[in-house]
Amino acid sequence: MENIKKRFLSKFPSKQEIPPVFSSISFIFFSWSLYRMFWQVPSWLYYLNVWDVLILAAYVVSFALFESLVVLIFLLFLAFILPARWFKDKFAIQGSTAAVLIGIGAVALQRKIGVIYKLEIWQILAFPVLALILLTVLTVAAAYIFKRFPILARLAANLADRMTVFAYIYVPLGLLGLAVVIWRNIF
Amino acid sequence: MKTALSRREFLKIGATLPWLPLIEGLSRPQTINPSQGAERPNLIMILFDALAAQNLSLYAYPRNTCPNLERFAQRASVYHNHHSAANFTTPSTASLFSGVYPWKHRAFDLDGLITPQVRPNNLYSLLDGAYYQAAFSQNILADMLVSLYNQHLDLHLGPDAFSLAGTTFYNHLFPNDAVYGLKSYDQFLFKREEAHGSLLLSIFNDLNTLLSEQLAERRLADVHPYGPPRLANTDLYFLFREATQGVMNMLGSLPAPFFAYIHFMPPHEPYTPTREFLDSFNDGWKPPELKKHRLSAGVTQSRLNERRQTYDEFIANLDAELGKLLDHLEKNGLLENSYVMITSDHGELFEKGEHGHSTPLLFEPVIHIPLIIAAPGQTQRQDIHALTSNIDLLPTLAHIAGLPVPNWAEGKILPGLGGEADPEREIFVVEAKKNAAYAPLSKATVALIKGPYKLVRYMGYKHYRDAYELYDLEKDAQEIVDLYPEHPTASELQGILDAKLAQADRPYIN
Repeated sequence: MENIKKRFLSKFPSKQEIPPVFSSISFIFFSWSLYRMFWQVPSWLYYLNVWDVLILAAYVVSFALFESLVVLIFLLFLAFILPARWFKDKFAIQGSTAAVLIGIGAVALQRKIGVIYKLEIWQILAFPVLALILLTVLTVAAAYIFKRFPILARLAANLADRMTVFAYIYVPLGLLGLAVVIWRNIF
Repeated sequence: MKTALSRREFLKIGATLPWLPLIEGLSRPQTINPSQGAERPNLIMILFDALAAQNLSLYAYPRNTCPNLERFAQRASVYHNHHSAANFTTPSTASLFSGVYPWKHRAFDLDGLITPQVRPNNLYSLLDGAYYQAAFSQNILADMLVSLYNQHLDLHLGPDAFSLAGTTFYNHLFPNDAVYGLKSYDQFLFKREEAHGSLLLSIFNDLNTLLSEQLAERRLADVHPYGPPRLANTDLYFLFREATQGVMNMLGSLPAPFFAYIHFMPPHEPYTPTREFLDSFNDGWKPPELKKHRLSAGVTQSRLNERRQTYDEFIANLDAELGKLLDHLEKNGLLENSYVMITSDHGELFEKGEHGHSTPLLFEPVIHIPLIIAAPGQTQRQDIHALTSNIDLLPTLAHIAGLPVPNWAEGKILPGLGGEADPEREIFVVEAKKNAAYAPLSKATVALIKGPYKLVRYMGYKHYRDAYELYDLEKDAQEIVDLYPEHPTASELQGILDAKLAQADRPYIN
């Protein structure tokens, strides 16, 4: 039983490699939500008071925290199922790169689906599968590039480390927002 | 370790026993004792979104759009000169709930909220304690306003209650904080028309929405060639017959006396009549073409006629469902012990180059709304031509419920239900969606209707900054001839309107 547990846990990245990846994820997803929110705030203030806007902000940042955790869990899942040398090894760099690729793809698709792209049923069902395949291919390509050009790997690792600063701001903000949301819905 | 009770302890416990029922009763939420409230009539308000009085055969429209409503009207009071306080859902519904004009409740914008100063004064708090209160709105903007009063509601069904596909997040995830849940989740994080607040999960929501849309359209293509009815600004689809059946079941389950607010989406766009009604008005009839208004979107007459025809067919569709609902009420005896009110929140324009209700214009088709009220056991029709406003519904409901009419209500009790017709009555209509909620009105259209005259003031529009238009609604029902400023009543009406505006703006001038 102990062996099974060890083998299972060994398929996941080490604990030291997960925080830089989560920092990159939270930087991307929080920044996007906050950017969209600040774009919206002048319009909100037109018909809401400041207190209303702060409550909405609490909902937004708590959701950004949730979304970041979902993406992290997905990347851990990828690390579990893909060959180690493609993803789990050097998870800090690979995971951060995958987070950036997901972010770029998501930004590119904003306002497209349903508004510009009218997809058929088979296209809608195939979309997530194709997206996953594309992400895997690009991540594997990134692994090759980082191996081939170590300076790029060091740069990616440095950037992921620097994202930790944002995590120290965004994650407490998300937790504060979550506390407000829970409080408002229970009391 | 168990210890035996001493005689003293036993006597102490015994002394508390008689108080237990009292404590239990005080801690239980208050419920209406049916026998105490049984003398009060039920109040059933059925509202159809964007239903224009001028497109109903009941109001002399050339197309036979509402035979069932006409049948119901034979045992009801028909208000021929009833107006909404605004030309779209949010401010109009806010006026209905608060009993005041939009410049008082300040919910000008599509997503606007009633100002906290006015919020405590509302229909639901008035009826609380006297009525079991239930609300169901398919319009999420109206539902957002209903959510402001959740503490007074005994039953609040969400817009997706009878939907075929799709769901709303806010009322399921955050039932206790629905207003902010709606604004943050459904109107920001996952809103479809703009870049989402959520970066990734919103895309999966879009895919899910598209899938639901496609499946619903395929499944119902035979019945709904234009697609199934959809709740505006959402991905919720429904079958009208299922929604009306759901409402029938709901009404049958409510303990008397109850107040039920029911807000159906049809005939709001998209106009999606069933195949049975599609092309039923392919009669070649064309309304007269009227000169485009300078503030209109410039829609061509042929396009307006096409849209009007589908809208009329959608009305005929909803009338058929309304007929079933009214028959159900009659069969179950609810017409004998209830006031049943059929109305709308605003109308719809198909003239002068403008289509719909998202417009700065306040012509009659967009503000003249139906109001038909059947009193318990009423068998004779009465026609009322006095000028009335949807802010009158609050004082009227208080009056017929036997409750005091609050002095903060700006409306009057409706004639025919205890009120008196007043030929000198003035009513106002306000359109200010581009005006800040807490600033004086500078970008707005405001109308005053007094007697047969309607004065409209346009403020802050490009190339039409501070303009007035005056119409004689009796002699010129289509509002073609602008009588301003020559007409003798122009200056008097302008004085009244400007004074009212100044009074409304005063709290917001620094």
